[in-house]
Amino acid sequence: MSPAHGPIQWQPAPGRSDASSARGRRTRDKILRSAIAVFGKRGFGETTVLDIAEHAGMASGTVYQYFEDKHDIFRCLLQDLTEKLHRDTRMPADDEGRLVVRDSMLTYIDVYREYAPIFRAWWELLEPPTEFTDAWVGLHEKSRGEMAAVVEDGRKRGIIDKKTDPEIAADLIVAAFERPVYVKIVLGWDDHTSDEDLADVMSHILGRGLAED
Amino acid sequence: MAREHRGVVRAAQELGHVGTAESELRHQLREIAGVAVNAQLDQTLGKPISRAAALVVADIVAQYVLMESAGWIPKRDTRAVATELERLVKKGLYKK
Repeated sequence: MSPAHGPIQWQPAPGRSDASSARGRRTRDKILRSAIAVFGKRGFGETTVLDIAEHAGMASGTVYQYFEDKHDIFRCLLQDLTEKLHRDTRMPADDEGRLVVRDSMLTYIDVYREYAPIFRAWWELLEPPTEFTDAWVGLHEKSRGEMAAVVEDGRKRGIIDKKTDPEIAADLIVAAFERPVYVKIVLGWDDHTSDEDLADVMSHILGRGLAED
Repeated sequence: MAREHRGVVRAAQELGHVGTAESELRHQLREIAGVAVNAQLDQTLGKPISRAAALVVADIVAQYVLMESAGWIPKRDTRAVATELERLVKKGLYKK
């Protein structure tokens, strides 16, 4: 994977306000909060700068003082969120090096729910590839790398089968965390599966398997 | 199959946004996949598994093929991937 898959670096576009005053920061924060609300309600594709401005109770010209367009707004949101998402959704290991799965899954679901509007917009922007796809891949590459290291460590400690391929296992674990939560929280396919049900299933798969009684 | 229909996998991702007809179709396909996985795993594991577990396994496969089709992860040997998935589902990540 190319090293170009890095975090989003946002700065005000040429000619836009850098929100250096307290009032400017308040206005920019208000725009960002409104953008989150509108992206969550309408998705990225159906949202316009005017929608965001109306939600914020300001003229669209005010939004354009700070941002070039809705992509610029989303870029700013992601810069703030990617590191936080990685930090908040990191899966810890216990003293023996075993992943703490159930609680991590419940935390992940909570974080996903809190940032559901951002995730909804982000998923919409993954295909065809955009700079936001690169940010997505970068974030997940980080998680996959950490997960592969945990599996490698488990193999050395003798708690994970030596035949387990750390890279493939890491890819599958990331997939296992990502999609069930996405379909539940963002797509709203609840399917009568509670958060606890989901956490229990993950705990089995990343514990001792579904065959265990 | 996903490699053969890579474009469909990516187009499904591109079009299947919240509230679209494509999303509803994907929802129905997920249900069908869940039932198929459930039947297969009941046999493989020799015991019934929950609907939630079957859907999670179907989701893992769906996400993995998207990740590969979109080029987010390297293309790997399919048998090796299937072996790892089977190990995780049957035995879990850790030794007993």
